[in-house]
Amino acid sequence: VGIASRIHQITQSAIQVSFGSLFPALHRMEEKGWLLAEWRTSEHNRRAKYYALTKSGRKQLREEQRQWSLVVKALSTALQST
Amino acid sequence: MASKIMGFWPIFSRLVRSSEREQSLDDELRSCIDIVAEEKIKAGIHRDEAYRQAKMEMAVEQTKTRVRSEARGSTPQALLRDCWHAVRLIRRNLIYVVTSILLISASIGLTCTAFAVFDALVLRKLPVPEPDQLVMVSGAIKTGRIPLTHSMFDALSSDRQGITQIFGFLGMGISGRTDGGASIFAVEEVVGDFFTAQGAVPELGRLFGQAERDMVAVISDKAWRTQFGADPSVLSRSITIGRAKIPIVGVTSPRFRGTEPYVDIDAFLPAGTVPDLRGAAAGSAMPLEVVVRLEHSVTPQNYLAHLQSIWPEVLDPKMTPERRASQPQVDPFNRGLSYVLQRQPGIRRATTMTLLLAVMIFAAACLTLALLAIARAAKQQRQIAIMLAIGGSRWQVLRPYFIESVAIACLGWGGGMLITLWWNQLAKGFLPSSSTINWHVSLDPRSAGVAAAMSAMIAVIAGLFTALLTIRTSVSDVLHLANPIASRNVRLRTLVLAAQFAISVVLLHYGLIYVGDLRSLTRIDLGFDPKNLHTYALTGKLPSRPVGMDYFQNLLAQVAAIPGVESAGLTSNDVPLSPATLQERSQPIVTDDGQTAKAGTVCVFPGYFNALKLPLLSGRDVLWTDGPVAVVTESLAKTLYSNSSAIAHRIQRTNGAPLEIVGVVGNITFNGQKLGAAPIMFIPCREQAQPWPSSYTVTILARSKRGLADVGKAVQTFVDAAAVHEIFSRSDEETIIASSLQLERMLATISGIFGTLIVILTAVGLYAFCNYVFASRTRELAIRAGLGASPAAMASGLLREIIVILASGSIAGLAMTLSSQRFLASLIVNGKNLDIHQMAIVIGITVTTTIAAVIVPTTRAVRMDIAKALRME
Repeated sequence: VGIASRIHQITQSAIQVSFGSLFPALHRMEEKGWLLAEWRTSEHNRRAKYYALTKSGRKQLREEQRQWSLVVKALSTALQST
Repeated sequence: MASKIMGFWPIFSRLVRSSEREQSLDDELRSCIDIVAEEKIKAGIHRDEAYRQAKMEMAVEQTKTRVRSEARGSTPQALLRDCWHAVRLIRRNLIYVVTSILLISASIGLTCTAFAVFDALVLRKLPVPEPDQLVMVSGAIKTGRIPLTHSMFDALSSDRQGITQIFGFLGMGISGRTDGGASIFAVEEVVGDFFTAQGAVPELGRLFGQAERDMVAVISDKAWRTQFGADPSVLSRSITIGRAKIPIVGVTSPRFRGTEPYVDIDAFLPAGTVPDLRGAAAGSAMPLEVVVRLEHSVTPQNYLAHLQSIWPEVLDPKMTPERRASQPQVDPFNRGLSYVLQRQPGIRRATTMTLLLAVMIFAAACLTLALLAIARAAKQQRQIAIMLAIGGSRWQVLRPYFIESVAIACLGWGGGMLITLWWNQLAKGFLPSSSTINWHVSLDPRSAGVAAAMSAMIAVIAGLFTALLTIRTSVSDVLHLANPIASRNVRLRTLVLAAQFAISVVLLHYGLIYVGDLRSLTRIDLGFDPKNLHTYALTGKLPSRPVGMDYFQNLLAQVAAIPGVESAGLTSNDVPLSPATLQERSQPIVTDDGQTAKAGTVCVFPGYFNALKLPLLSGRDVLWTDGPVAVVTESLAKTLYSNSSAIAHRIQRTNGAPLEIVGVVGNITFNGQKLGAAPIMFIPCREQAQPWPSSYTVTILARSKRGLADVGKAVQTFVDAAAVHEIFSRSDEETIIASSLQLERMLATISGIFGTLIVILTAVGLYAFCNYVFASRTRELAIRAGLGASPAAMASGLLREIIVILASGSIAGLAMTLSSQRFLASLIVNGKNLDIHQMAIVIGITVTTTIAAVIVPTTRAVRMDIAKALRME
């Protein structure tokens, strides 16, 4: 819930990730070893699951960021040339 | 044991981890629902409503499913889920599944039956150790192969160069009995290392070797079970042959079949020990089939070269000059003597051809299944594409389809095995049969293995086509187009459809020609009337003794006087004649005006033609007092005297006095004659042997509406009273017809089954393919219908489109059929090839199937709501 809210907040409501998409993605990344999950108690005294990036997760994030930059750059160039 | 248990640990561990993960997922979702609901409660929503909304937002079950599908690897749960998915697929596509299972079962059943027969008749070697080391030694003269005499066997036995073992045997049908009164007809006199060279072991008692000089018998496992009721004290019992009571000293193992793989021998006797048997009675003059086991380093060619060097010393001086001029001959013996097959030369060819056709049918079935798989996958393309789009890997998505294919293949295999068991019985029924012939056609592990391999191939083909169709599917394509695969390449689609039409036309032609062949064979005129005809084959009691014509005249009169018997006849031959017998008794003849021909000789007693109801076209029947006369068939009379009557003309045989033609009878169609009438001359039996040795078999014919057994009892009384012969086999009308047309019926029935299967396969394949191609246009058709196009206009538009493809495919198919006409003619019995009617039927079936395949999607499209059509197919 926190992750979905945070995405909603930092993208200034541009992206709303549904739980149906978020959960499978988190579990996929956990299965691939990019995230580490553990149960902790939240500030509201509730049991919640916390996800943290692992070393390989950070590496994958950098790779994804690089790929995304390339796509954005390519698209920008293409759009500017029209 | 411990290592085996540890081997299961990873599976167990995955199961435990998987259940932990499920629990964790449940906890996580519940925790999220609590957080979201709490926020809503804070915003003033009622608690129950807040929880309801939270649960809806979380879409708990869908989320769980998605998370599960993200789980990597094929855990047991994933496999179970895939299996469950496959079950759902099967339930949703029941028609596809049932059609596929039926197709697989039928094609596997057919191919396996053909393979089982092919294996038994062509491939299978003798069940002995190293059968390839066994070779048969005989003499070669101009007219063929001759067996060796006892003295030649002794000469070869004393020279062991290049061989490890040697044995001789002489199989014969005799009239013998067990001490319990059961009949024994097939015995083999053997000499040398008969049992040891064939690796035989006794099941009970002992076998005998070269040194055996006592009159003893080793019985076969089958005789022990059937004639002695598997009596454990059989070694204290005996069999009686002629005047001799022979003690049983052993029983062979069930695996041992002796030298003739298709004949069940009852007993094996040391050669020359039983006084009334032919081998002993004729001393060393009786020929033997001689087999040697070669040393490993010796090839048959090496041994032949050695035989050539010693042959002059081996030759028996008592033989005729022609036989003394013989040369040694060495033949493989790895499949035994197979005398039964030699007498039915067409069977091996028919068996091979049947297997080839069955393989073709299987290939056609695979093609049809592939088309069905494509058609089915095309319908589910949208679902597959969406599953791929939401993150499922291709393998994950395809796994249930592969499981479904494997399940279909397994069920098809099971069905195929059941059909094979059933059809094996049918196949055995088509093969020539007698009380001693056993073809050993069975569903053995080899046939089951072939079926399993075929099923695996089908599973891979069906799965592969589904995979190929979906592998390049993208969700955007699917959402924009009704069927991206079909629309992607119109030219390719047209080509494939035309090729399918062409193949269908060829296969349909083949199928119809086979069916036509079967129809023509059911209308064959045998020439004689088999209705209510019974035959009783007699064999002479041992020792053999001569009987005069008065004995037969008396016997025939007694049979004719049996109440209910309309007519009776006698012949020394089988009824009906086998082609091999006819060929053996075929000889060149010369007429008094120099015409030459070849004709089969059949020995008959007066009344034979009347009993058979074989029409006497001119002249008269043979008489008891007749000397060298002949009654010829119409076909022979026409060959010899095309422009005049044959009556009173004389024909000269190779041996014997010239025969005066006294009568002409109608033609008889015999087994293996390809519907042609064999040229035959019937001569009085008195002319063949006078007096008549009782060891020669004779057959009584009796036409009666009473049953075979009923008349048989009365015949038995007369035969027993005379104490010269005994009845060894009985046949009724059905058996006579069956054996008259054995080969033709076998071929034609198999052809009929093949033809029907081909027609069904082709129609199903064509329908599936057309339906697939046109179903892909359902959306387009629905839009056109929504815009006001009439159903008739749309259907005719589609038909116009397909007619071009159909015409080009049909022309190609016809060209292929015409070019393979010669091959086709060799496959069928009646020799007739395709005609204009069959062509019309083929085109009719193709067009009807195509129209049916076009109408279904058109009707569906017309009835479909345009809004629904735009939303999804």
